[in-house]
Amino acid sequence: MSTDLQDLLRDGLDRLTAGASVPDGLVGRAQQRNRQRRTRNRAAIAAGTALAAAAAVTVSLTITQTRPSSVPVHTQTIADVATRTEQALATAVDQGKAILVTRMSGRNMPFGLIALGPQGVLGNPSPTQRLPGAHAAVTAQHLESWTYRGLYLQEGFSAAGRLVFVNANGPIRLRSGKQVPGNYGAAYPVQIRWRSVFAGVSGPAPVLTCQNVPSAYPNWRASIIKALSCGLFRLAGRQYVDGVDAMTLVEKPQYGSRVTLWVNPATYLPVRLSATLPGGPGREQQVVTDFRFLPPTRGNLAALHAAVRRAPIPATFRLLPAKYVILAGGV
Amino acid sequence: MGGTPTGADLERLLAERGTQLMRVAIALAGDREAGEDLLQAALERVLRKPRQVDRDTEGYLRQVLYNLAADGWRRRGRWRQRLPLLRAQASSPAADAADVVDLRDALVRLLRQLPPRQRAVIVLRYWEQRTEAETAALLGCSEGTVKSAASRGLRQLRELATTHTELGFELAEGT
Repeated sequence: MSTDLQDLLRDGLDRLTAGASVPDGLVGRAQQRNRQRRTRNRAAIAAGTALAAAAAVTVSLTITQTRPSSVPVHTQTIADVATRTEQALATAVDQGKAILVTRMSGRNMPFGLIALGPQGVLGNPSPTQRLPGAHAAVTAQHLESWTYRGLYLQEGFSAAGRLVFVNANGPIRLRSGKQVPGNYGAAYPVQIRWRSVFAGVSGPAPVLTCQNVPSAYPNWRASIIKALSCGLFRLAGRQYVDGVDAMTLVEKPQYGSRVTLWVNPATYLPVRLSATLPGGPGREQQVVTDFRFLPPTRGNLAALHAAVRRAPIPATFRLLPAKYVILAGGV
Repeated sequence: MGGTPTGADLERLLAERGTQLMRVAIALAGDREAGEDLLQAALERVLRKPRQVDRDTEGYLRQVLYNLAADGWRRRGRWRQRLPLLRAQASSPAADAADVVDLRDALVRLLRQLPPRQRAVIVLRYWEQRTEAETAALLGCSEGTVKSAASRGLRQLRELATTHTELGFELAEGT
């Protein structure tokens, strides 16, 4: 391994472990777990069963439930907040512990669809926001999204609340019955639909680097984690957002944009993200995204399924060539 | 501090050396939450078998940490979570500081996906700067095992670095 790579690895682990502190009461919890273990072992022996091993497994699996969820905020650095937010998002979304629901609303900023071809690169997209072959651009007034267990569903609504388009990244069932990840959706005003399989390295997925971290691409979790891990934010105090005394993270200015992320200090999950873009004199554009993390209860899963069912994709709609991946966002 | 440690002894040890121990636990476990669990599991082990501590409580606690990590103390696949996968991209932006950050983050992510023993070996050898002999002694294995685990782990990291440096990279969602 080259010295440079060793240095990078060391830097990475230094950053991962920066600001670490031992949580209060760790020794006490260890003692308590041992007492519980001894009690269970004695009970198992008394019962003449092999429950002790099961008890040990139970103990190890319940460790995470004993940890206090909050830490003192006054000692925190941006690196600490970034790391905890990355972990909270990864836990909530990747492990399916929450359904992430977002609502984006814009000022001077409609929402539409971009068709990304094999040569397309996000950040330098095709100048048109029209779908290939469409006679008009398809725009919505607000955008809602649902993220849960590999499904990322976006819905664009008109000011009157009518569904204008749906776009999803999620499993697609092939004729063979096999399910593979892909992109599908429909634009109702122009009666166009799309369906493409994400085909590994040859796919047209846009680059996601520190210089290019578009909001919500390929989903909210990934883009926020990327922006935080690139060190793009700084801490800027507290502010009440949606009744939460949230930590305010301000993105270092670039290209004239101003991005602010509010994070719940109890859960380290995002509460709101605001992005303001120059957009020309007198036409400053702003997009505000509110985040909700819903437990996957029966009711919330029913709401998710209702969103999926709300957007049928008629087979009569014209199908775009499979080479396109469709992105939804501010246009 | 030596002899058979009590809870109060361990509290004092954590007050003095807790930050260092916590950092080691996080590096071994892959994230803060798992690091706290790992350190707590090591403390439980020390409290259960205090007589095995001969003189150096911190040294013994560290050894337990390393061994629990190398044995995959909690085989729930935390390291194998479906993290974003790396893949090559033909168009290459010029390498700069932000690319270095990308690569650094990618290395740490890849490290989390290595098997527990490989990860422990790499943390000991290249973060704590231990020798092969020290690493082998701490993990209770032979130097040959350390060499082969380090070699396999480094091969993956090197491949990643080469791909990243030459081609740039993009993220493919594993979710």
